Amino acid sequence: MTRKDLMKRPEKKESVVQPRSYYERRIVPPVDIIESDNHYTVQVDMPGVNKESIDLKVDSDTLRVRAYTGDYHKGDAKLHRREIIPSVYEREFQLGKEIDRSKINGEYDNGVLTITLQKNESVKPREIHIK
Amino acid sequence: MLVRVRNYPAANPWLHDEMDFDRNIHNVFGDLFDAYPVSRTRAYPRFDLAEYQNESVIIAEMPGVRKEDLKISIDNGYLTISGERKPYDMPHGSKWIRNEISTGKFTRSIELPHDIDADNISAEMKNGLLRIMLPKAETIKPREISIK
Repeated sequence: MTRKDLMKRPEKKESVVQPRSYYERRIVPPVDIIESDNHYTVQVDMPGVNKESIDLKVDSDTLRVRAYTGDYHKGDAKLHRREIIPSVYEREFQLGKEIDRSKINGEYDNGVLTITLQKNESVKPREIHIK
Repeated sequence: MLVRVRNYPAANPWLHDEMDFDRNIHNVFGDLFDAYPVSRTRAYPRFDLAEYQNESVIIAEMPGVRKEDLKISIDNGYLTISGERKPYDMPHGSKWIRNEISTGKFTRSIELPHDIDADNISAEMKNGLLRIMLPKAETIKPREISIK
């Protein structure tokens, strides 16, 4: 790959969250993962996206989250300071066997996406009743 | 590990996070690069400051910060945002698998580009973005002068 190839704009593909301009970039958002007795909680920092534009997909072993922030400014803005660049957040998680694929929930609040992954019944800790 | 995280490489190396680049430069060279024009460590929260005809708008990224934990003040042409991101409230018996999100107190100031009408400042929190609307003072608004 030559230097010229690298300077090219990213190729446009059919996707809702594909970068739309040369200035947009991809961000790997920071995540927290917490394990409880019967579920996992995954938190993803993604400020500035609309709930409707978050793309959360499960494909056999992979959970993928993507979202595009859009531009926050109107056309006639004179930008004195610009530290936030329109971005695509993108992160993937590999799911273990004990996660119930049919019970994955997402909730977006205050810039943080919280995903709840339920464990299968068979792996949940339980007390065994002695007869 | 039961939930594993995959990191993506940057889509295009020339677009890679320039703030990370700054931080890495700082990590390697420390104070040698004090004169570097952009903030040398990653300043938090990140700001955008946009000026329009009648107002300026500050946008700051603060995911997971509640508006009760946030304070905005203006003094002598500087606007200061300070606050705290509270740590995640761990349910009893749970444990960390991964912790990348940092929490704690922060404060940051920004110089305002013009005089503002301090009585009419408004601010809102939405989707983890703080938006502060700063109307321009009457004296500096552009106006047409009628000829008598």
